[in-house]
Amino acid sequence: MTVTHLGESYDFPSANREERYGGDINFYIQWEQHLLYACPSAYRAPVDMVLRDFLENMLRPDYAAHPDTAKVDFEKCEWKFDQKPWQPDLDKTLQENGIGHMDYLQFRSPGLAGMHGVGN
Amino acid sequence: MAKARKLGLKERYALLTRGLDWETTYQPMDKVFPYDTYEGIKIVDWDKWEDPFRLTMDAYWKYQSEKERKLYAILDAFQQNNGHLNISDARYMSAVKIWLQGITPLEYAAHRGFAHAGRSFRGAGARVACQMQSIDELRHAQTQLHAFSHYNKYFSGMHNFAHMRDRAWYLSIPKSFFEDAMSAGPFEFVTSISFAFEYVLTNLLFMPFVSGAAFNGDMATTTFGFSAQSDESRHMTLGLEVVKFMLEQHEDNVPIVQAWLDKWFWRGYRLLGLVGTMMDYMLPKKVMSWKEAWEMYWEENGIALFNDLARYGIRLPKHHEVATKEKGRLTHELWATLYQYGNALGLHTWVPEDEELDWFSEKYGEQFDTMYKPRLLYFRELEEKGERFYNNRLPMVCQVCQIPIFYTEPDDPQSQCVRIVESKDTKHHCCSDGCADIFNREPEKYVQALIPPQQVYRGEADGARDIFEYAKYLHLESGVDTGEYRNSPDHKNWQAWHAATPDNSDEAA
Repeated sequence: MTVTHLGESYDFPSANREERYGGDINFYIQWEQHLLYACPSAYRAPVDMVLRDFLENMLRPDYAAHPDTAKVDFEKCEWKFDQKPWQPDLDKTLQENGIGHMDYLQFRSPGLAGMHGVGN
Repeated sequence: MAKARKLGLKERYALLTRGLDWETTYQPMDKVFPYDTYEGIKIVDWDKWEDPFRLTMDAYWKYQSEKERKLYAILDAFQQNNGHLNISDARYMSAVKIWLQGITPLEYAAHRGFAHAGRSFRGAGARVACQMQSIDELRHAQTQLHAFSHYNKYFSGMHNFAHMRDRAWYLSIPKSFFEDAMSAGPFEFVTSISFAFEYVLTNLLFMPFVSGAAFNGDMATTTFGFSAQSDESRHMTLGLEVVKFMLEQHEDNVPIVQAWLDKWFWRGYRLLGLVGTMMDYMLPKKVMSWKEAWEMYWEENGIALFNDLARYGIRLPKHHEVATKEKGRLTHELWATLYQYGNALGLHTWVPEDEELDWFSEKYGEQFDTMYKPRLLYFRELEEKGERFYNNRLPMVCQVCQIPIFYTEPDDPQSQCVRIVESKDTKHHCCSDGCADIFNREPEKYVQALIPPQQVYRGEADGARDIFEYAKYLHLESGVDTGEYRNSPDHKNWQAWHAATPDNSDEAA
């Protein structure tokens, strides 16, 4: 459907379109069964960043307060890309892994299912 | 000379509110009033508009000025008697702060919105009703600012609400709600604000805040609440009147109104999560739980109201059952969110005291005890170790309601709920099927939304690169206006003001 409007047309580009990121991308990650962290996290990163570097240097420090964080082996995690099963190559770049602007990644860490038996 | 006959109320009302309009001749009527037709609402006879209050402008000014005199007399007394010392606890101020930062600007937005709607309707009855509500809303914004101004002298975080309102991530929630309504046509505006918000959901907004204020010794807020109450009942009646008027005028209006009710019920419900969290967490002395309020005001009264509208062909708003499924978790999930993003929040957060946790157990039962209580206790444990929990990574935010996506799946409270929607140039994320439906109905509108974390990453928040620089951009002082309540200046001042004898610690300095 479209907006009911007065005048000739009602058409605008997205405020968050990729061209406004100067070659970087804005994408999102959620660690399943760890709801201590209330929301999926938002990132801006260059497309040629190696995925492993991103995970070790940006993502892991963000989750430092969780007792599971130090034990996570990203290699063994089960991944989803836009809510569908997915297998990344951690030694390739974001771009080579097909990760683009506004993509949504989730991972589940086997054996580390959060706290209190309820995925906290 | 014969004395002129005194007019009856009905005659007087008719003379003062009708026949004020005329058919334009220099320009066609449709050009003078372009907004009241383009939404597709068909009005056959504007004179069928009924004003149940039969209020004329002269009577309106008289009533309002009487209320004003009483209100300001009490506010004066409150200030002269250091009324801020009588609140239940300084934690209560978080409720006042979120009202000042988030809701008072909505009163002003409503003033603008009703002024615009009043200009847009060609029926004189509707115009008069909108004019009065527009003035009411301006008065509410002013009386709230005056009532709160005393607190601003003693508590932090209240110094720059207008600047914050246009920038802060958690204030874009109420701001975007109203701007969505104001940028729609006049019939959608009155359906959204007068009906969905004021009629269906206001009991969940105004009642808990004003009775919560009374319960927690806040005389200033209680007084403006009472002063606004008769206006609010007029607004509620206008809301019901406008919906019935549209539905009775033409059957083609029914599907349009239904779509608006679906949209605005959901947007209103999402916004009220902030109020629910205020009721459950920010009031040191609790009035009722969000769950109880939802059951009373929606599951009983709200659903009964929609059943009354069934004779016009109106059904219950879409996704209302999801809102009901969320009643046991909403405020706990949102408080955990405010707590962890506290470094960019202009009010304090904390882990509730033990007796409050017991109150939650009583009101929310097993779901609280198994899921949310252990989380709160873990926050407490970290805090006691000197490692108060903050999440400093910016969150994913819903493209429609602009709330950070903390929600969980309706049927699985342990798994995050995200909906991916697409426009022609990029993807977007929504918090629910309700918001995804709203997006998909008018994608060109919502793609324009200024989503705060995205704004930061694009370098459009004065170049802020992290949550601390972002707080500065909001004019918030870290550790004073933001974050943990314990040992904040508000907390220390409160203790100093209430210390029976001066203590020897450096806090008293």
